[in-house]
Order: sequence, then C-alpha cells, then structure tokens
Amino acid sequence: MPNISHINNKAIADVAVFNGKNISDIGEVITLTAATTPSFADSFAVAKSITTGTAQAVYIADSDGHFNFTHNQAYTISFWIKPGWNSSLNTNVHLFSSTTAGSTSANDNMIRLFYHESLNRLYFEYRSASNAKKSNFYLFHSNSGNHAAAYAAAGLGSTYWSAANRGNVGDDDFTMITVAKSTTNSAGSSYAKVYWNGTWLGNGHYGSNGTGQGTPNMTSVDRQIALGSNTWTYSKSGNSTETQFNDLTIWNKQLSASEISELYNSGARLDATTHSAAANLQMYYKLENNGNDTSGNSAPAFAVNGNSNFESV
Amino acid sequence: MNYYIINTNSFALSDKSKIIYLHKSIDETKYIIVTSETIDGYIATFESAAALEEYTKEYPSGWVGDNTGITQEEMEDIKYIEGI
Repeated sequence: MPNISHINNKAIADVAVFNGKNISDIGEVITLTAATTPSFADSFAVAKSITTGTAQAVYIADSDGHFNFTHNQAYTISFWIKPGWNSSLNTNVHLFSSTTAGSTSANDNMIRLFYHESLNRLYFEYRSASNAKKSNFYLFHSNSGNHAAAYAAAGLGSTYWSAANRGNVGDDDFTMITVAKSTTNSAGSSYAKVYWNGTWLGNGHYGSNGTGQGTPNMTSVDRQIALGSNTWTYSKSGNSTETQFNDLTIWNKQLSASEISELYNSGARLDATTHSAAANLQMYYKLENNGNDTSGNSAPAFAVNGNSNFESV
Repeated sequence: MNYYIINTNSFALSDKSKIIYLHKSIDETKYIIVTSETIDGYIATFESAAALEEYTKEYPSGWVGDNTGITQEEMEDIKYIEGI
C-alpha cells in the first residue's frame, strides 16, 4: 500500500480534518475508486498475406462443432481490422468468411463480411445456395438517407476506406467491425445489425428487411473460417500491403448495442472474458502471436500460413 | 443477359435501368457491364458470365488490383445501383 501524500489535491500535511475526523486519528484509509474496465496488453495482430490460397491463409479448416450457426440462430461476430489495401484494389476484400468445412463452394452455409473497395460498401451476407441468400450493405460516402448513419460512424468522408483513409479508429489505428444477428432469417437492419467501433451503421442500403433471394436454409454442419480472405478460394485478400486483424470474438447471441459498446471499450481492446456477456462467448482469438482460442471452450486454433504472420501492433 | 466491355461513351448512352452489374477499370476508361440491353458499340462481348469471369482471371491487370479477376458470384451479388 503506497503512502498517501495528497487528499483532494491538498498535501496531506495541510489536511487537518477528513470526513469529520482529525487526520491524526485516522490509522488507515481504504480508498474506493471507480471500477476500471479490464483490458490487456494487446501486443500482436495477424497480418493476412495478400497472396491467395490456403497456403497463405489465416483460417480454421474445421471449426469442430464450435461454429455452425444456421439462418435462424442468433450470433455476433466481431473483430478489429487495420486495412492495408489501397485505392487501386478495385474489387472486394473479404474480412470474415465461413463456409462448410472442406467445401470449395461459396454457397455452402456461407456467412461473410466483405468490403467492396471500388464501391465503398461493407456487406453482410449469408446463404445456403446461389438462389437462397440474404444480405445488406453499408455505404460510407453518402451523408443522406439510409447511408447517413454509416457515413457518420465510419468517418471516412468522401474518400473510400483504405490504408490511406482509415476513418474513425480505436487504439493502434484498428477499427472494430461487428455484426450482431437475431434469430430472424434476414440480413435487414432490424435483424442483423452492423457496427463500426460500436456505433450502429443504421439501416444500410436495403433497410430494415435487407435484400436477398429465396430462403436460406443453413444446416448446423462444421465450418471453415477465414480472416482476410474468402473460404472457397481463399482469395480476395486486398492489395498493396497486408491487412491486419485482431481480437476476433464469436458469440452465441445477438449482442445488444450496449454490449457491443462495452466490447469496443472506448477503443481499447477488451479482454472479452471479462465482458458482461462472457458466458455467451463461443470463440475468442486474441491473436497474441498465436492462433489459439482463449474463450475457454477449446475451439480449434487459427492456422497462419505462408507469408501471413503475427506482427506487433 | 448480355456481357460487355464498353467505353465511357457507350456507357453514357446505355440504358442504366437495364444494367445489373457494372465494374469500372482501374483507370475508369472501360466498363464491364452485365445488362439486358443489346449494345452495338462494344469493345468486347462474352457469351456468358463464365466466359467473362474467365477473361478477367486471364487478364486481371487493369480491372482489379489483386490479380484475382471477377467471379460470376460477384456479378450476381454486387448490384449496380445508379448514383451511388
């Protein structure tokens, strides 16, 4: 216990009375401080190689029963990203992707978040077939209508998202992207809410009911999961320099806005095991120089292959 | 459905309401479009989405910055919306 030198900004020698007692009569002071938000020393992130293929992927080949969400299950996927692509990418970059383990088809129980650089749109989509899919997208450069919330949340202005324009960021220039889906079979904003640094991106282009084709009917089979590429060709990883990913959390409920704000923790990456909804934490990858799950559920580890590697943040 | 590479002049004359997919080249001088409209003044035309995908994978330079090409799935999912 350190010695007390000041009370209420007064030197202890100048304080005669504290809480109605002579200071000389007080043997010990127990100091109660406001609860601080737990965090941890987050020193590393994983950098996804811009080269394609499983030999360069950051991926889990088989989630081993830990990730098998269907169209009518609630879940939340959240991760931090530091873009490495530039304005010449001119295609999409996949941030998070999952499909049936072992499949090379985009249509097998797919869930994904991807950013289309040439259009400045962030998409959330899931599907069970090419004609059974739901999606919505969030446009960042239009400060009007359904797009105004995303414009404000991202802070990118009229310039598209890239390494040269990361918009609103948390610590170490990382942005926390989150999708929180309800049990309803829809990617519309009433049911699948997407957040940038804990701020809701609003209705998105297709609004409260989203868009799609047919009715996805996903089965609860194991999935392969990738950060920084899709999971059918392990491509669409950006260009120019590697994009970094950090602190992936997967929850078996739709986190509320306040719970996502808690996870964002004012930009300081939180130890998710201390989160108020930690009981719903299904998978947790801090990516602290390894791909291990730290949720306590013994989920499979991420493989970090080829030129993909862990880097200091 | 029709699959074309066109220049900016042809695009200006095209019926935007019939375009379902648009991809500009990196230098924005040429456009890949998928449209129900028949266009005469094209640079190239393709028989199918698969043929167009194959072309972009064989010649990605100038179209995409990651050398991956454009997939049929992208042509179906990334809808052209005029004005945004």
